[in-house]
Amino acid sequence: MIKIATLLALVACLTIIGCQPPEGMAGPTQEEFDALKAQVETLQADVEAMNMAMDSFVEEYNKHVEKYHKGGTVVPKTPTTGGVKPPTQK
Amino acid sequence: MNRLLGITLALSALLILVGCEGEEALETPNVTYEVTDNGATLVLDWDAVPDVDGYYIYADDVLIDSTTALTYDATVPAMVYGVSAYLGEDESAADEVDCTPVETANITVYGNSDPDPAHPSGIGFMADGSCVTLALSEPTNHPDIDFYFDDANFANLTIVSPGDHVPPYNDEENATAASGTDYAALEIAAALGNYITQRTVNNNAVLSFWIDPDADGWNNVTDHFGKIKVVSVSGATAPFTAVLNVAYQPIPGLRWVVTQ
Repeated sequence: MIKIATLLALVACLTIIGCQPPEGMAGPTQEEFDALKAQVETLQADVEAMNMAMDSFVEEYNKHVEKYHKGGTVVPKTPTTGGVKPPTQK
Repeated sequence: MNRLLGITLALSALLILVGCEGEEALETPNVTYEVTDNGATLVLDWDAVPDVDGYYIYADDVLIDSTTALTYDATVPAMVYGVSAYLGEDESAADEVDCTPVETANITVYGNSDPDPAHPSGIGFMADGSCVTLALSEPTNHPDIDFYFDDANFANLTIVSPGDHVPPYNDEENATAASGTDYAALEIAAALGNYITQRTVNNNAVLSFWIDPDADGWNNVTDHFGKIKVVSVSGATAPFTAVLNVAYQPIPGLRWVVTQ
């Protein structure tokens, strides 16, 4: 009887150990996810700042061309299309 | 004898004057309203008019009901609802609630891939309900944008909420719903649950729209509804151009869009 109980306990232990996900396969933790989210948001802000800097630079360049190089080629205005987040149903 | 004749004439004149005096006109009810039922019902209320038999209810000048109550749930969409008081055959003037949408015709908009700064891709509704086009390239327009037309991020021209843009033009969560192709026949904008913040704009389609500036679901204070007729969409590939007719319901939260 004791042997059977011991064997069952052993099987249960092995099953529990065997069912554990391998190291690194349990998916990101909440902390890792938050860190990643913060990184993405920082990158989005950086891209927006770069866009604004580029627009400002192009504007300055065009002003310069129009003032000192009459007839020179200015950078054509391009539409700022940006991106789109997933739609919301309501 | 002369004296008797004088008195008789004076009495007769007095009786004629009293007899000819017009009857006092019935007081007009003072109607107020509240939008309920997620925008489907207009609840009319008014103060009691003294000494009357009841009240007549008119929808677009057609008598549709009578009541002795001081409230009426208007569930059939109309352009104008009216309430008058009646006493026997006499009837007061009607106090009216104007629910007529403000229409703007032949609005031309361009997909945002169009590089021409004179080709606006945004639309916005002014305080009077009229619809204007707005250039996305002008940052001062961004708070006023209610929808913009995107063909840079989509294969087809798509009407998009300004809050869906990255970065957002503003915080509004406006949306549209498919509503067939018959603009005049659409009398009430689509029920809640059928709207989405991005929708392909197809030639000849009719869309219901919902302006939700607070992005907080339906309310009868800041939300507005209306309908859009896509008269045409031109261009085989982007940039696309669309011509729209738009009707905007000025009463907050009301989904009625009767235009004829």
